[in-house]
Amino acid sequence: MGEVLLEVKNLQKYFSTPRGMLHAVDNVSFTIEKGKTLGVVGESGCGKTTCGRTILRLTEPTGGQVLFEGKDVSKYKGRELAHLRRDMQIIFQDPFSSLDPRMSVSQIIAEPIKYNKLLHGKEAIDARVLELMDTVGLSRRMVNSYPHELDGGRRQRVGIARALALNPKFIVCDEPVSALDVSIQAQILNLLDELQDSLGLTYMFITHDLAVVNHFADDIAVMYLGQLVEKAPAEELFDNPLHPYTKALLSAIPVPDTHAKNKRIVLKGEITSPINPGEECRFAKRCLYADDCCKGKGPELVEVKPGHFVACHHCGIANQ
Amino acid sequence: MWRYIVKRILMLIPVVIGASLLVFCVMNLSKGDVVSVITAGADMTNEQIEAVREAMGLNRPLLVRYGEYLFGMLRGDFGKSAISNEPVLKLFFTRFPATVKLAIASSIVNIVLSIPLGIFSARHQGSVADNAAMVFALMGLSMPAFWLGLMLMVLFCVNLQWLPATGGGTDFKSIILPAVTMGIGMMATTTRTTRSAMLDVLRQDYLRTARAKGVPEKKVINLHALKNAMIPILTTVGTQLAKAFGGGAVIEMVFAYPGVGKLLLDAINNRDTTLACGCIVLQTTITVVVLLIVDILYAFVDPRVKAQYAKGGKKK
Repeated sequence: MGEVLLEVKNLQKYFSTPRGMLHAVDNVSFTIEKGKTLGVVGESGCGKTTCGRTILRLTEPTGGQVLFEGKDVSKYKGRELAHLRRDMQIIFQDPFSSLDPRMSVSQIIAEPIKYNKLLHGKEAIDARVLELMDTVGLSRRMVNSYPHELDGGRRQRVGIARALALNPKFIVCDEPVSALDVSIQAQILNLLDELQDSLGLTYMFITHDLAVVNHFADDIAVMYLGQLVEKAPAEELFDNPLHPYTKALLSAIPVPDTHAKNKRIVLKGEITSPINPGEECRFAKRCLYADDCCKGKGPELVEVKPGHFVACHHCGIANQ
Repeated sequence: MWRYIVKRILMLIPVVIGASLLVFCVMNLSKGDVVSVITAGADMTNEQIEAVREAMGLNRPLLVRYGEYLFGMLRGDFGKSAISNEPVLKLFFTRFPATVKLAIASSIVNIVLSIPLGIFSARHQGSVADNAAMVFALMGLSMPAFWLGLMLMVLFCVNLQWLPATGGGTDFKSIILPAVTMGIGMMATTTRTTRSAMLDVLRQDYLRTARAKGVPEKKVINLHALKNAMIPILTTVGTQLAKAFGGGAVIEMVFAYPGVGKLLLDAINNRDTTLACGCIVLQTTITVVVLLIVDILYAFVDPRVKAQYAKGGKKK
């Protein structure tokens, strides 16, 4: 086991709504080793993005700890928080709305360098901007372009360059390719892969595209309604999924074979509301294996095999 | 860009002709004319009055008189005031600096009050402070300028005796009350525009990006958010400034302020067609030019607008 870069302990983020507290992220715990990629999957609205943003303190956590290189960053304030930005960065989902339309490419990339005082003097900053543009494969002639003049792939490259500008150790990739068309998705994924190798980056890769995550991640965490239901190394999770939700999710991946038997598990039942959810297992209402036991206290995340964690009272039955 | 500016200036011609024709007709069709004002109280027979009218050329058909006026105007001759017999241009431009001063002062009051208030409201949307700010802004809009002017006068000139009651003086103090009265009237709209423009921008993803970059919150608001919210704010402030350059007639009357608004009102009361027409045409021109300047400023605020201009220029 390698050196742990990030450890998340019982992270909670609740939003107050008129109908009660919305449990967006509830008691999520995991670790990411240095230089590895954790893929986070789950359906829309299950708290993947909120989890990523909360780790970066772009939204304030309600509870829990985030240990980065052993230090709890969840209570950082002022200058410490500003320093945190140098170590942890995020690539946003939508390259169309996440770039300030009034700023040119060079201004966008230079801004973090300027405010974090990494480099001084216009020349040094300009040189660094061009270097970053080379790194992410953006042609230097676009240095004075504005975001509206670029296509989606190039915009996302700008987003990556500005994330790299601070030499971070850890990057949250929040569905970085979901807004791009397929041919460009591959380019961006390959770029992220190369950057990981050359710069030794650690990723938390949030996506709902299971094919992408299989290609990309070392470990995969599956989230359901704000909770982590299963976490395992990528290969293990795909070969031997334990949680009924993970099984249903994996069965939804289209198989490019006309003769393949359609074994898709279709989930039925009502989705539990994330607002003031009870104690019971949140998946119980849609689960094929739920019984009285599931209406009691919700299951804890337990390690069933080395590195394979699952939160289900019935993972034995579901496994059969 | 230049094509656009020339086009906009050419568009001024029909606007000026339309405005002058309208005022010319209305002034001539309304009851009484300048002769009845001049001769009022004088011991003259109807024949004598008619002779004055004939001498001033007022008995010729309306269209002939308008044509003559328009022809003179195109050569830069705005005619003479029938009452004081002084050139309209001279009368207008002796009053105009005072109006410019008032317009700029009131716009400063407007900007200083409304933009911070609008930003504050947007950042605390739905809070008690936001509602209070909006009620305050609405009050500014609802209070008629003459009433607000009089109330401020009662408070600051009569009771507290801090400021002079008339705006005619040359010192700084005399412009404060007219500027504040005018500025508060403008403020309501600007605050609301600022608030809604900021609300729109504050929800944008690129603000989150800026925070993720480690940009301090103050800069996130002032640099990223305000800059992106600037176009509607600029439009509102610019339109109000253009209006103010035309002279706030009511406020100038209340504070006996010697601006062009008062000049125009006096001209209308005296049925001084040449002077009234001249004032309107000059005010219209100035308004259009100020609005044009505001439009050109867009390009400096928004690179996308600049790109549009550049494209428009290349088309042909």
